[in-house]
Amino acid sequence: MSPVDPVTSVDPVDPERSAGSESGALLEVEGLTVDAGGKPLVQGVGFTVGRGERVGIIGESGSGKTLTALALLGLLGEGLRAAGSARLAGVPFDLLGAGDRELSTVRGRLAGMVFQEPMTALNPVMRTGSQVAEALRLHGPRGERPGRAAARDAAVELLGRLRLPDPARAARAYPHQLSGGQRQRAVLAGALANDPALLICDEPTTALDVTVQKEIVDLITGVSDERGTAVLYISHDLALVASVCHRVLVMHDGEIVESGPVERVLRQPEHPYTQALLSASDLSVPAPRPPAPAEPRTLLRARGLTRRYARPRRGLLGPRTHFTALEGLDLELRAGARVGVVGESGSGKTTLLRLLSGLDRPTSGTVENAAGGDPRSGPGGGLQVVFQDPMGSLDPRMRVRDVIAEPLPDRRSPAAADRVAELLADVGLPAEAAGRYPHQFSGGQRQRIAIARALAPRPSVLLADEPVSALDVSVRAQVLDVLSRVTAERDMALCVVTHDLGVVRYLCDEVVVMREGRVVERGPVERVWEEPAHPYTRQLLEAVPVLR
Amino acid sequence: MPSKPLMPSKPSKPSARTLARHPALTAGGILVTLVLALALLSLLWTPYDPTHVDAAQRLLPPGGGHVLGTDQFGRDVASRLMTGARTTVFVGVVAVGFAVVIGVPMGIAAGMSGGPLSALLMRVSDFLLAFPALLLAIMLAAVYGTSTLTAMVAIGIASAPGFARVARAATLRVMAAEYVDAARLARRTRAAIAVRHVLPNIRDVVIVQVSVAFATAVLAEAALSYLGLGTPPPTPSWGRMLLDSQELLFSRPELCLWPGLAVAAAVMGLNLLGDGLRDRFDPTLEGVR
Repeated sequence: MSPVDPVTSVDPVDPERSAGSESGALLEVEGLTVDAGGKPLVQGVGFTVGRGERVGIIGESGSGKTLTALALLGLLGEGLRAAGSARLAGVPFDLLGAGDRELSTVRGRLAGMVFQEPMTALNPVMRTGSQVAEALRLHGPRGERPGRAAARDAAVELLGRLRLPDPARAARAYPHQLSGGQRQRAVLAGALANDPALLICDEPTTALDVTVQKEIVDLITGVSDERGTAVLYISHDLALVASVCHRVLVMHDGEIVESGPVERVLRQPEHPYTQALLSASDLSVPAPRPPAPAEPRTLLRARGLTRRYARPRRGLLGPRTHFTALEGLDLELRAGARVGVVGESGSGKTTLLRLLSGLDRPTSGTVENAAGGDPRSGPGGGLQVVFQDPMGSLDPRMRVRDVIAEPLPDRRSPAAADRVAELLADVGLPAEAAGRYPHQFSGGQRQRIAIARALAPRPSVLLADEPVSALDVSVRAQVLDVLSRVTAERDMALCVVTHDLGVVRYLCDEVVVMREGRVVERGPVERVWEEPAHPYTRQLLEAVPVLR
Repeated sequence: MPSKPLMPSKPSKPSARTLARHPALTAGGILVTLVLALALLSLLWTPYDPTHVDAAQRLLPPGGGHVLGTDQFGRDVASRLMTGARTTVFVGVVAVGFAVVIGVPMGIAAGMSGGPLSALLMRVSDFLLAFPALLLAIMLAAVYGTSTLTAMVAIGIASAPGFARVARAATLRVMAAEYVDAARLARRTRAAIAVRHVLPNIRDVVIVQVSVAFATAVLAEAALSYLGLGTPPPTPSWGRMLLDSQELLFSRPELCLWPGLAVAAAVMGLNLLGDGLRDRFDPTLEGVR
């Protein structure tokens, strides 16, 4: 990478004697508009961020929250144009009208940015420490830029400050050798390298586990308190924003519909959208439960399920090692049961689901399927799965009609067409949806199509793999309600695999907590919530941000 | 909260705007259409009989009765060029068709099965890939004699591994998708999954590979004919026209120019078309340029 030469004429002046400090605001945005070829995506957005203040931007996908942040640092993609004004204290020019050379004096120096996916924010072929050191060497104040060795030492120190275990080793590591949370710490270290006055975080923890999320968020608030760094925190998660920020802006369809102190907005939301968003994200009142069947039949019984994956040999004659994804798991699903399997990434919960459904075979242990099929004869006997990603689980080249009819034995018959119409009505989609393609639907609608497909062959067990984690908050409750209702109406057993404790509490009666391939705790949802027995369960429960 | 309305259906036909956004696609399309049109036209009409030898008319300059003049045997160059396009297109279509029919199923089978079968199929394709089309054609010509068919089979065999590789890579991606898991849960057979899910979803990359392989086939056909291993005389072909005009390179250089330009235009057109299609099909490249 070639070093960026700062242009002397636009070198930012000393923050202390800047014009912005008179009004006290660090960042002042007025009438920010972003459009793509005449189509407005962000409209007339205006807000201020005070020194040391943490401001949250809340919005769903497509609300323009990320575009707003990108526009401030001139990082909009081609074809997108920003207008309006954005003044950062200590910068003599308007951020929105500035060219790349001018903005490069701001980025990383006065304003740092942290993105959602730490893997793509780091260069995969560069050592982590060098990337942090690069931030110091490129963006540091002129004349005070450290030399190579000094920057390297400073980077290690910085990684240590962000509580990376063994920072010297982490600095020598390549990004893929670190965990997701460690990578995000490294990105944060790069963004904070020059002690910027403003830190912009765009969904910094969305790709991370809850317990890691808590650590990262604590780190951000800690740095902000300690160094007086202002934070612009973008997220779709109301509770998370509430736990981080002082003030919150609610964005919807490219406009700010409401703003104010966190407590006020969350307690007494004024705008109907905020109210709807709040009620949709509140999953504390469980979905209505069906009456339990008189004598519940056992539909699926797993005993001692273990799944090991072979690791590639180290060297030609190296020993063959195995990775154990799941170890000795027992599970029983009765008619009408609602079981939630909770765990973080790597806990083996998706492996469990694949074994139960017969998509994969256990290394040892058995799955007895009394639901109407033998999983050994092939997957899908009396049991269906709703997958995580509603885009990836629907074939983009098939019409909805064919997608839903796929599991039906006679998929071209008029009876199948009737069944498709009936299922569409069941999941609350109009009949004309049958003739359309998956990409013409929103995420929530696609997930409902996936549910309709799963119900088509009248299974008695429904397995759901993270059914709402790819969806916006406002449609989450809808999809969960559909899941709850259709399984209740049919006396089906429901097993939901998720990282989201709220979903389990909303939907399930029984919970299984997994960690590293083993069950650490199981029991009725209420009991586990009130008195978690295992320390890990407690840690999980505490890590979930809660709306105050 | 009300659910979002159904989005209006989006037509995916290439509109004037898409064409303007993809200049490579447009330029490639025009060049390829031109070659195809010439080839089709030659079936119905050519200015003169392209194989008619007339010593009295030999080496006439361009203009007059013969638009591009005549060669040393008095044959009309323009007519030969048009008929040559026909040969090129015919050889290309058959050779690429042969390669698709062999390569794509091989790639899909390898991608869907994994394990030893996949390894075996891919080693076979590596083996074929190691043989240049030219060498294969010389070998086949030595055994079966020179003919258009030998050339087509040689080019087809040489292009098949490309299709197998491309199809396998795309199949692996499709097989990782959750809709394939859903199809397995719907108790679909492997063959049904291959036809209903894999094939439609790897279509785009195969189409791009077709245009690239077609360009290679045009070049290979010209080279084989030039070496006397392709279409035998008197059937006109661009490669043979180059060979015939070689001895007149210094006295009548434009006689080499016409077939050379024709080959260049066809190959460039197909490559541009391939690039354009790739850009259009690959959503990750959307808006990059």
